[in-house]
Amino acid sequence: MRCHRTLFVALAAATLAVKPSSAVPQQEPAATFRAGADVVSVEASVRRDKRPVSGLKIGDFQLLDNGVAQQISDVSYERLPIDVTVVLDVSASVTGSVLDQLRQSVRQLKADLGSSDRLKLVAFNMQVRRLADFEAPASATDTAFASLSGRGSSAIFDSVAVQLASPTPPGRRHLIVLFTDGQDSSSITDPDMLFDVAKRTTSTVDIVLASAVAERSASPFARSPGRPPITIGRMYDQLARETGGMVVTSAPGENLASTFRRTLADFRSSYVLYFTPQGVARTGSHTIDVRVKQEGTEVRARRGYIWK
Amino acid sequence: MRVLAVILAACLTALVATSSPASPTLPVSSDRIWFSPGPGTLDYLRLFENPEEWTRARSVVTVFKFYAQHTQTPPPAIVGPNTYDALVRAGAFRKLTTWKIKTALEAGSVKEFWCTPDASGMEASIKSTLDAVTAIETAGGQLSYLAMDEPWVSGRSKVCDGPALEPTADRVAVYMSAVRRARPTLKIGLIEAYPFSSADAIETMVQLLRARGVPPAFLHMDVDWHSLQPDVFSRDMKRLQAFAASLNMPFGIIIVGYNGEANALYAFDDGGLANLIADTFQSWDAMPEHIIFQSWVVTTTGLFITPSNLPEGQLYTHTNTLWDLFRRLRGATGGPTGKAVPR
Repeated sequence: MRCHRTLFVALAAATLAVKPSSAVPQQEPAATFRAGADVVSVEASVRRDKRPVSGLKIGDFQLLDNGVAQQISDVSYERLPIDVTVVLDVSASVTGSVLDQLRQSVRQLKADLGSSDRLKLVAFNMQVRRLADFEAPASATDTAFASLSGRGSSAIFDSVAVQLASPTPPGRRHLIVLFTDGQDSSSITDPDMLFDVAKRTTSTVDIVLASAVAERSASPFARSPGRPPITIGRMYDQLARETGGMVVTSAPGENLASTFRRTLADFRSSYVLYFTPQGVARTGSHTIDVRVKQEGTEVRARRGYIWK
Repeated sequence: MRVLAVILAACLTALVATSSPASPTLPVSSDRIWFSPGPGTLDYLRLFENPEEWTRARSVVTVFKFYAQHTQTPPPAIVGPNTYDALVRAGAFRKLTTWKIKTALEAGSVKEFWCTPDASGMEASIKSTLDAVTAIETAGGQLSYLAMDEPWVSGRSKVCDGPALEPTADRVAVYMSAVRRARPTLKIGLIEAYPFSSADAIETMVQLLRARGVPPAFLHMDVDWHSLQPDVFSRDMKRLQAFAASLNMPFGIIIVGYNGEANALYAFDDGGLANLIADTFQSWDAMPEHIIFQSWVVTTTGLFITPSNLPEGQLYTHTNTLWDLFRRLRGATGGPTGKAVPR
C-alpha cells in the first residue's frame, strides 16, 4: 500500500476504476479523472448563509497541505455512492419515546438514500452490537429495532472507533452519524486514541446530541498524564473537526428524523477534492486547509491526514 | 586428510551421542516467533499499511497468523474493521510474502456445530478451511501453517461424542486428510488447551492422530496459567516438549492474555506466562521451538480490540510486549547472554 494515502486515497484510486453508478440520483457524469498512485482526496462542505453552494469548479478552491499550496486535479460533487453508518446510543438514559424517534429517523434516512447508497446500523450501551450490516436486507433494520431497549452504560468511543477504523471501500464515501446523549462510561478506547484513529481514516463523523451536553469529563476513566481531562463538548467538537463533520444538538421537541436528514443532505452536497501532494514530505502527519475564493462562504473539511 | 577424516568422525559420533532418546535434541526452528494480533484491533491494518511503525518487532517475527474469520465474507463482527476486503486492500497477505514472513491460519476443525450424525458437519468444516486457504492465496498470500483450534475442547462435548478422545481423533483425521489432499505442502498442526487437557491426554491425542496416519506438524499449547501451579506447568511443558521432540514435531507455547480491559492488564498476563516459560526453560536454546504471541480476548463491550498493536515504542502495546518478552526470553535485556531473564 505504498501508494495509498490515509485520507481517501483508496477512494481516489478507485474512482479511476469504478464506474459511478447511474442509479444514484443527481450524479454528475463520470469524470475523466486521472490520478497517480499518490492522490489524496478531501471532502469539503461549502456553505453560504447556511445553504450549500453548488457549481464550484477546481479554480474556486485553494488547498494547503502543511501550509504549501497544492494543485487540485479534480473535483467531484454528488457523484460517489454513500455508505451511512448510524451509531445509536441505547443506554439507560435513552427512553422509550426517544427510541421510537430513532426508529423513525433511521427509517427516514433509509428512504433518503439513493439506490447505490447503503446503511449500516450499530447500537451500543455497555456492549457494541452490529444490528444490520451494509449488505443486510432492507427489513433488517426494522427487525433490529424491535430488539432494542434503553439500558446499561455507554461505550461511545469504542463504538465510533471501530466504525472509523473500518476502511471505506474504494469508490464510495462514508458518513458516520453518532446519536448519543452523554458521557462515555464503558470504552477501552480513550479520546486520544479515538482522535488518532480519526486522523488515519477517511470517514466523516456527524454527532447528533440528544440535548446540550454538560461541561464534564468525556469519560470518567480517560486520563492523559499531565493534562486535564477533555470535556464531552470539546471531545465531540474535536472529533467532528478532525473528520470534517459537524455537531448538531437536537432542540427540545425537535424531530430527530429531520436532524438525521440534515446530516445526510449536508454530506451529500459536499465536494470531494483530489490532489497529489507536492513540496511536502511524504511521511507522517499532514495538516490540510481548504478555502473557497468567494466572499461569504464557509468551508468545513477535515483538518489533516496521515501518510500511508 | 586422514587426520581430518578421523576428527570429523569423532565430531559426528559426539553429535549422535548427544541425540539420545533420554535427552532429545530440540530441532532448531527458524520459525520461532509467531505473531497473531487481536482480530478486531483498531490498528491491525496499520501493521500492513505502515510497516515502518513496527520494524523492530517485525524483524523477529517469522510467522504471522490470521484467524479464519479474517477470510470470511460477510465478515463476522469479531474482526471489526479488519475484514477480508480491507486486508486485501491493505495488501496484508501479499506483503507477508514480500517480507519473507510465513503465513499461518488458525481455523476450527472440530466444533460443536460441525459434530453432526452424518458427514455433512465435517464436510462443512473442511470446506470452511479450504475456502479460507483459497482466500489467502487469491489475495497473493502463501499459507505455510494451518493451526487447528483446539479440536478436543469442543470434542469433549456430548454432541461430539465426548468426552472420549477417539471420536474427535476420527473427525480430525478426516479433516486433516482432506485438507492435505487439497494442499499437500501445508503444515497442519494442533493447538490444545492446557491444563483443560492434561499432559497425558495431549500425548494421547497426538498418538491417536499418528495411529490414524495424520501426525500433526506441530503442537501448540494454549495455557491458562492462572489455573495451575508453576511447578506443574514446568514439569508438564518440559515433558510435552520432550515428547514432541521425540516425534520430531515442533513444540510451541502461546503467550496470550486474558484481560482485555486495558493494554497494561493484557501485558501483565503475557508477562506472567513469559516468566513461567523463562523459569521452565531457562535458556534460549532450550525454549520451545515456536513462541506464539497471540490475542483472542473480548472486552466487556464485546469487541476484540485489545491490546493495541502500535506504536511499538509505547509500553504495553502488543508489538512492544512481543519485543520486550522476546528479549527477556533470549536473555538480552542487558547483553545477550542466551539465558532467560524472568522479571
